Amino acid sequence: MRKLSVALVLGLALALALSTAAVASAGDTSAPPSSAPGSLGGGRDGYRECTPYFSEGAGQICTLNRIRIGDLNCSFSDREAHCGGYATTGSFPWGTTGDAHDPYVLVSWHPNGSGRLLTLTSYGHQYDGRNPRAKLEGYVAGPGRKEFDIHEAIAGNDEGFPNGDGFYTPNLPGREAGTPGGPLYMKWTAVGLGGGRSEVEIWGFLYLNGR
Amino acid sequence: MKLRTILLALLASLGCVALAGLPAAAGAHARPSKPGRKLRITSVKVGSRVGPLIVRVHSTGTKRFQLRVNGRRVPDAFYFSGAHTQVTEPRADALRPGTDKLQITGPGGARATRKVHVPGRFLTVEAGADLATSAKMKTTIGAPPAATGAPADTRYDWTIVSEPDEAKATLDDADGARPTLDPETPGTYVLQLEADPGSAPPVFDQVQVGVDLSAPPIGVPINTSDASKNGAIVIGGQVLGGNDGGIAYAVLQRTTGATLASGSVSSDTAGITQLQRIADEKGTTKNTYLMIISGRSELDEPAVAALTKLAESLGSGLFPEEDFGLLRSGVGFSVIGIPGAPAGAATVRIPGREEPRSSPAIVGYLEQNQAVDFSGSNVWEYVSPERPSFDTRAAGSTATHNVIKVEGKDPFIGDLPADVTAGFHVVALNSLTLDTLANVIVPTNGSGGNVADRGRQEAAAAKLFKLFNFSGHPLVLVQSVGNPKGAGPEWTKVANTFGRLGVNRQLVMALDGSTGYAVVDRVGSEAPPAESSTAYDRGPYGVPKLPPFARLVGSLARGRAAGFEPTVSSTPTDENPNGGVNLGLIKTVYQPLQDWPALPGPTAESKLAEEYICGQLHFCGTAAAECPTVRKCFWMAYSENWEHAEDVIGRMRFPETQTGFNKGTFEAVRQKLEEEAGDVATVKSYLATLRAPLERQQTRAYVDLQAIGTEIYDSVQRPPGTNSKAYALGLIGKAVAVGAFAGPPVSTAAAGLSATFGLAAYLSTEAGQPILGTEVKVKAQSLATDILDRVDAAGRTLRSNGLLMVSDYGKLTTAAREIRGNREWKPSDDQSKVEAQLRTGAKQWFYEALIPAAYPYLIRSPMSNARQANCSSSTGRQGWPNQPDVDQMQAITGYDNNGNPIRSVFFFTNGYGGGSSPTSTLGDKMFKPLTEGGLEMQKLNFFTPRVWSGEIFHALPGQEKCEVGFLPDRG
Repeated sequence: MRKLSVALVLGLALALALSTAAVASAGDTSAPPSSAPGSLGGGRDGYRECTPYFSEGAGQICTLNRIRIGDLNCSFSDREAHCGGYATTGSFPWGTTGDAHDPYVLVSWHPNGSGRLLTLTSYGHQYDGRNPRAKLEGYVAGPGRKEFDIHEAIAGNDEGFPNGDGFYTPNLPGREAGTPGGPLYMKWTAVGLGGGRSEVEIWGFLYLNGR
Repeated sequence: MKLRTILLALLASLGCVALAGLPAAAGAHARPSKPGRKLRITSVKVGSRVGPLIVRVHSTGTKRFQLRVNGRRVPDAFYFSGAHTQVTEPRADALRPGTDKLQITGPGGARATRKVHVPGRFLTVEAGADLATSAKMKTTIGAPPAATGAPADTRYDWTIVSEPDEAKATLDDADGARPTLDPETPGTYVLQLEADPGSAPPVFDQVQVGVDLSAPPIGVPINTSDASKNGAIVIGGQVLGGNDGGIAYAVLQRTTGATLASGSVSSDTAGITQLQRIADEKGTTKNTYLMIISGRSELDEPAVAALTKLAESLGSGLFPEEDFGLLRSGVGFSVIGIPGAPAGAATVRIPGREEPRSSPAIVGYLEQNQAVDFSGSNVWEYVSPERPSFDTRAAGSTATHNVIKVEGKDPFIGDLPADVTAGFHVVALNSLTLDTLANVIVPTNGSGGNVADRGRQEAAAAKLFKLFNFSGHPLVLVQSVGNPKGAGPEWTKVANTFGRLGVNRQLVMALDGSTGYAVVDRVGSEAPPAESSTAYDRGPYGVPKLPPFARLVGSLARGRAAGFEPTVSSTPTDENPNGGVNLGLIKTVYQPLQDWPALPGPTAESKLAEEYICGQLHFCGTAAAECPTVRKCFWMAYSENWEHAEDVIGRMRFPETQTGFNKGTFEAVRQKLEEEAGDVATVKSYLATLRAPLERQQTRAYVDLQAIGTEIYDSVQRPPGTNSKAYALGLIGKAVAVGAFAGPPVSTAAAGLSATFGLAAYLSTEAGQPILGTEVKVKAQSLATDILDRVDAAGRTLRSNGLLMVSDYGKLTTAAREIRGNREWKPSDDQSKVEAQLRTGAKQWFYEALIPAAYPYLIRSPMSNARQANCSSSTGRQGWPNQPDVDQMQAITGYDNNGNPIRSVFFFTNGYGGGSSPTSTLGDKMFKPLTEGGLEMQKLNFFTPRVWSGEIFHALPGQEKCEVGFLPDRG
């Protein structure tokens, strides 16, 4: 009995270890900007943090601090999906609410050519379809890819979404995901046993529209 | 950097020598990160005969380490021969009055720190500023006793304590306050001063003199992509390869200018990879080499990726998005960079697509007198000689007719159409070539009432967007004509469009029919634009003195992106109708070269006469081995006393025993050289006068800074953040603004200083000279260091400008004439007023840098007072119940549908809650009028994202924690 228990524990540990292996391709070379839950992480590499009011200052490039959305009831290996979870870190208003809580984030995607069009919509303390606060929308070439090309990122301002600064990633030649000029870095991780649940982390640098 | 010393005797008498010999436990702490690797500072000693700073270090497991003094890296790395070593650091320049922090770091993260307290009164002995000079140029060192406060009967003893191997150098007047060093050999010299004040034990200080090979001040012409040589790099007439259609390259040693490698590679990834290898290899010894690359071919996408990475490793920073496409299209490129240097060190030129296409060549000079390296030695640096002036509201302008002038271009005329009463006159120029892209009036107000104006303003926003988005980052000059007035929400779009230029949007929003605005900027520039406004905050202190018009006059120079940008500018006032910047001085320094005229008389005779006169000057002639002719001595022996030389030449009599020239020729030559020597003396004296108040102000600035720093520190009851950034217009920029209403001659010093700063310092980075007049990120605790750097930069820049002026006939004679006869150049006889102006500017600068360090959050909210914020909160607390009125600003942030202005409150805090607000005392000191003892800082220019690292937080009344709950909670 005792031996069995040990074996069972070891087996569970192994299963857990395997289940948390990243779905995204290896080579996590771009360290995510740290951002403590419920706080602003600040700028990085000389760039300011992206905010709804970024355009009020000078500059075109801003840093999107790591958005981590846990306990999603979906897997990026699914062909298409709609699922939601709470962001525990990330720049305001994508990953932090104005009163420093965790926003609910709806994640959805559908096929587009060989890849997927992916949308993340952030709300307040809970899902409120009429009052989104922020959005990230773009293209991912496939489930194993870390590059998230942003077509439109909007940070809703005090006039209400979709008013607020808009951003994109230019995806410049030779620029890695998660670095200035490159796509955002996206990392999916399967959570728990049995599959079907996951968490996603996204970080990198955005360019302000119109500048 | 300057070198300072402590009064050893005073330290001893106060028991502070042991500041000095403090045991490691008293104030030191080691934080080794890896077992087996430990560093420990066992003692610190300052102000001894051995050297100004002696640090004893004990090591376990590491062989080498690096020393920092107050965060500034001491240039040399130090090595252990055993477990202990003693560092005698002659360049302890970063020592400051107050608490000084020493830090040593070793491989693997080994680290130890020590804080020592150095009372400010001990920093009174001064061996003078570190110097850069050229071989065979006699150089006066030391500081005038009056400037150091040394007693009149102080005895001096100077010695050379370090010099290059096999150096030949002499030190004249070694027992005087200001001896003369005569170095024949290039390299670094360290001289030590032992000063005996008589009443106390001797004190010591050292000064470092960097000596380079002599070179003409104007330097060597450079063309990075000479069309006549099929795109080759040409330096000083020498073709350095690259004329085969590929990518040309050259690598130069920065201190000697010697070409180490040159040639060309293919215009593809393989070729660029070859260059990357060179850059990587040269980059291992940072800031040692200049690397130049250029090409004229189309590049494929992988090649563009490789090229941009190569340019980044040369200090270019990330290229703008547009440039990636331009490189693929084959417009060509040039980069002059420094392998291993940080972003901002490289000059990059990538032409836009506008026709006619402009050249990708960077053209100008490599000069040796503009920049110095970390050790203070002069290094070769690219300089563009073009400095066109501009005026956004030139003579002839009226309420409906505006004239914008850019030197070298026909005036740009803008007339309001008949049905228009106000608008913007916009001139857009190709920033590389100054070719005209547009000259238009953008209407904002006119007939038809408010509805029509809203339509005009909607169209204006679209038109301005188009004008600011020409390919290749245009230079734009904008002047309000009439009195533009926001008519509705569309005005916000106009302000947003101006945001493309990085402007202070509050000045655009403030256009309510009673104010004006002007801006000059290169689109996409990282430097802040030049701006002028007649708007002001309507706070408790009433209407400040305002200029008659929002107007900008100033000078353009090529920035690191090779395009023209405004470097120095000011707004003319009634007292200073031509503005606060001496544009004439800028023009003179970089006017076209003019050969020296032939000396009077038959050539052979005049040459012999000149040789005779030269020989009568002790430093001139081949025998003296310093400078071969009188005219070359003007710059090769710039440090000589030229007033005395003029006098000597003036007293010379025809030498009856000489043959080869007659009396008439001799007299004519003598008179001519006497005139020119007098001009040299005049220029030198003038530049010294400009610098003097700044140097005298330096010590007082320390006192001011410490008082202001203490005041702000006390107000927050905690240390300021270490990552705070601040925008600083800079000491001189502030002083110019303060002096705008003083009128000459009091304003002349700042005008002259700003002009000279604007010439070269603008382009510099930490790899070259310090930046001035551009955005500077200042840690609060390094402001004192910054001041010293700026004064040192002033010294270097003034000297290099002096060399430029005395080495060219046209510049010398023009400058001397202007100095003697032009009222705007005449220095003030009342230096106390000049110093007061500089002191006020310095204080404004300190506040602007320190307040955001202590109160990092600039908040905007649609309320009339921050105390009224209703931030419904689960804890029941209000937002900012203690925010004093004086620490708030009301500003226009929009217009309603009827054109009524909507105002918001702006305020700064260190978080959320009652304990986050500053005191009213701080605000009083900053914003009160000068006549009431304040600093009269303009709130509209202070409560801006630019001062607060670009960030502004919006507080929404009625929302939970006003939607800024992520700010630190200060109860």
